[in-house]
Amino acid sequence: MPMTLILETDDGISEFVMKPIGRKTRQSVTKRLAVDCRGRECVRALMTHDGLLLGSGAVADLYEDFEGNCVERGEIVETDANNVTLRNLAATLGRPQRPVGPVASDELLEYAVMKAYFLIPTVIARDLRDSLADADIYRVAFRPRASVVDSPAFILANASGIFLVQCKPCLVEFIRLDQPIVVEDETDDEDDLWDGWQMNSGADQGGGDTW
Amino acid sequence: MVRFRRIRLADHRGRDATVLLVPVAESVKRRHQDMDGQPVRNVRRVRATGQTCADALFERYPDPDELARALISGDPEIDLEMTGRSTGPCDTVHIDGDGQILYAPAVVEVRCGLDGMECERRPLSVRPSNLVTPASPVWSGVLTPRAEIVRKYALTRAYQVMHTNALEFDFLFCIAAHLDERRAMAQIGSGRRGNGPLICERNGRKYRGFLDGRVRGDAMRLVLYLAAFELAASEDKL
Repeated sequence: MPMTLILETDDGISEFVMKPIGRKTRQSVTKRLAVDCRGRECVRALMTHDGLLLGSGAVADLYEDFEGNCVERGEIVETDANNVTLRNLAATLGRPQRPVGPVASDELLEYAVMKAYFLIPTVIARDLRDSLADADIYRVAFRPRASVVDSPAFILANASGIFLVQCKPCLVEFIRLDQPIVVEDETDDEDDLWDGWQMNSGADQGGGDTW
Repeated sequence: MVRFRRIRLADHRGRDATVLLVPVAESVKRRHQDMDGQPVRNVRRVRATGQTCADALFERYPDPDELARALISGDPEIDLEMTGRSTGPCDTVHIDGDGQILYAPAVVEVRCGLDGMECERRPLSVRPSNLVTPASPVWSGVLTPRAEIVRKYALTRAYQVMHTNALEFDFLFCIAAHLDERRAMAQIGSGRRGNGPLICERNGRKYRGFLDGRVRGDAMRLVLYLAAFELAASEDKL
């Protein structure tokens, strides 16, 4: 079932069907596969340091307290680095959200995009439509599910249509000449051939980003 | 010790320098605790072994009734010595079509179309990183207003371009001032015209690079943004 974004502005409610976009939807994908001598696809498995081979589904990830008792995921709370409990924020999908803005386009340069969606309007309020056509950008709360993280999302339009981009903040700062920098002099930009490859996993190839 | 990427960057005056790329995306560290405020840890435990996993049991007992009887009477799905033990650190290995560990698998590249179907299978070609090239980089001269870039591309990675000495600072300050004056971002890339894709790591993804510069007094910020794809609904390639 496609996700629906509902926005509320002075001229009324706007509703959009959200279609995720990314490299996979924009261009062909190249995967790397490990194959045996007869060309058959290999499967990945884990091997413990004492030689026990563990195939897919053979391990369980769980949380335990320091006495070794299993703790259910529903009984786990997340805290920040200062040990402050993070509040679970409700999902925003299906609930009208009021966009904030217009914001300056430079504000987007303080963030890196994590996910992008193409928005197909089913109903769009006149003020929002005109404003987006005038190249305005709005910030909106967007959480597909309840989460402790409140990643900002922006709505913008270009010649191809209307988009929502969900972002994570970047910590860019102005630097001066006298500012100390931590530098390591032996930097090897050429990573190991096998690093970052997710061969035979079904996942998209490496890179470290959400994409 | 912190490791940073480097990039060999050219400026609008035809000079070039190899400078640092410092990742600036915020990484949030979160901890987990139980309802009593006691910290919990994530552990990985053995659930089944090669002899007790579902596939092995289906092979051993092809008849479902026979399997059901065996599960009730003999508990073949549980290895009492292994089940529940912590795995500890593990290595990833490949298993060939005969179920044996393969120590040196051949690697092929499989290209899939937009419909997910396989289009082509070819031997692996190694694509090196092109951030630091032996040949001098080229200033593309393509300046695009910031507002246009953020509307057109998904800028999925950001690196602050940093100096390691005073000469490099002057070099970067000059680029930042040039861009700030024009309120534009410069396209940074590979190739003879300086607008080709950037590849950050060997066999990594291709990105389109844009450089944004600001100046405030004697301070500057120069950020390299990498665009993974265009914001467009059509199926055009980046």
